[in-house]
Amino acid sequence: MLELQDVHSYYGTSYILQGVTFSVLKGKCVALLGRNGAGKTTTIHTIAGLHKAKRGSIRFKNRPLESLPPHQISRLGIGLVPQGRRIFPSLTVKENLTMPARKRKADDGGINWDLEKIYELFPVLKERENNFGTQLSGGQQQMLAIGRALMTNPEFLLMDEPSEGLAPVIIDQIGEIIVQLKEAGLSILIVEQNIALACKAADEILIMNKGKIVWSGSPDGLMANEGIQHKYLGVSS
Amino acid sequence: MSIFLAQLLTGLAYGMLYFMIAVGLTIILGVMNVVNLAHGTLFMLGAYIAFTFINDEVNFWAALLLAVLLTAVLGLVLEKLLIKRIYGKELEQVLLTFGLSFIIADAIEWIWGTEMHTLPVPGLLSGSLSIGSTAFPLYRLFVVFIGCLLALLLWYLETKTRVGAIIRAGVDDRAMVSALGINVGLVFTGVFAFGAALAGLSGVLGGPLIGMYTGMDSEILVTSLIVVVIGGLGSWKGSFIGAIAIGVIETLGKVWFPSLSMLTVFLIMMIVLIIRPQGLFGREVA
Ligand SMILES: Nc1ncnc2c1ncn2[C@@H]1O[C@H](COP(=O)(O)OP(=O)(O)O)[C@@H](O)[C@H]1O
Ligand SMILES: [Mg+2]
Repeated sequence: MLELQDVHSYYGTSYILQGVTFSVLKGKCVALLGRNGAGKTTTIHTIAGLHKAKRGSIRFKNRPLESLPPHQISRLGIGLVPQGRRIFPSLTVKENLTMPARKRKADDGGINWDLEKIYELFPVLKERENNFGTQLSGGQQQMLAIGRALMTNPEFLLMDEPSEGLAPVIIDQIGEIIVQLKEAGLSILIVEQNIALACKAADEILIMNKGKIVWSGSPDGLMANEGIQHKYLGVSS
Repeated sequence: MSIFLAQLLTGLAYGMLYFMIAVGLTIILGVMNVVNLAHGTLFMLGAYIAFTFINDEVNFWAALLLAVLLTAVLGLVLEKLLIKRIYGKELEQVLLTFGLSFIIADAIEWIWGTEMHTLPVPGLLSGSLSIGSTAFPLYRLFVVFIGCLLALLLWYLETKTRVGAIIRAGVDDRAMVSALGINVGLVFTGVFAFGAALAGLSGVLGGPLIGMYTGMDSEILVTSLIVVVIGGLGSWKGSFIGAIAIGVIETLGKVWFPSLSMLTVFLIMMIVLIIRPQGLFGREVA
């Protein structure tokens, strides 16, 4: 469904993505792990069109994305849940959801997300619908960021560190939501620092280091491989 | 007392004209971060376009509508062709919009000459309304009414419509808005054209009061910039309050201290900036 082939990306003269290649199959969840500064967010931004790759190909449903502006990439069916959530502070919770709303295009029997369905998934957002985005707790903001992306009715979800800065109970909740979304048919690329969450949600794990994918395998494979965890994820045993 | 009330109405009417032009300037600034130095010229152009139509026996209201439409179209073309290329580049913006203002002003001089002109007050509004011993010219009341109507419209657009939400979100985080599938470029074009239309509207409505003369574009631009600064960059509410304050103070100042009238306006700006550097309704900048 999503394929990156030898993607190279720069910020000015600093060489960030140094030939990234991987793919995400339809209905699967792939987790991208790696230390701070490895290039995970740059990967997400490059797919979403917020940052342009210098070289390489990015294809979604066999269409090239490299030269498209972000809004067209979104309209092909890619939703973004960005790092730091980036809720719009000038909009109420409800407006954060309705502003980007788009009806479902794909005729694949998937859920057509609307305000009502989002409120069903995250009842707390309904309670706070007239609050401004930044008056919410971190967990609620994360729910809002997920809800906001779902309102565009994507087939593919990019999630960048959804567990960042959240309490363990909330992380579990977010993890369950991600599994639920996958079961509802969404394909997902999730960037995480939280290995447990990534292993629970993902079918495949990729590890990025200094702008390259250095390891890939199953969640069980990662759990069994303490050497890799130690080397690239800073997990001390 | 009665003279004072009549002058107050005049000040309010001027204030509303300033509001209509400054609001486009401030919204374009708030949303796209562009100071459009050609905005005053669009005001002047609107008045001249209406002038031409009225001379061709077109009725005032139709001429008004045509002038507003044509300035909107010009704004749209300018944004699509030129401004679009220099978002985020401040020096280029200053040079381009300043250059455009010269080109348009010269074109106006070339087409319409340097004579001073005024637009006729439309027949329907040529009388005045007497309350007690004071006569309030209907046309000035009408301008105040339109200004208030515009404020109401802007409030509605900003808080109650999807376009308003998109624009507010765009000011917060433009990249995120585009990543949600919204064509921010198209929104910018629309905002620019809308601002241009309001400048044109203000120019036509100002025609019977201020008239048209060489150099008025830079005068009105300076006044609008003062209004924008007083009100707070990007805030239409601030422009509303600021424009009314400037219109009234300038008008009364001309009567009471004729030699100091422009000074009073700058004085107000200085006082506001000392007390609130971000302007009346401006966002605090870190
Ligand atoms: N806007 C930027 N300008 C310059 N360098 C950047 C920018 N964003 C990220 N970087 C650099 O790119 C590298 C990768 O960053 P990022 O993709 O955010 O890493 P991650 O998400 O894996 O923590 C880092 O070294 C970071 O300093
Ligand atoms: Mg990151």
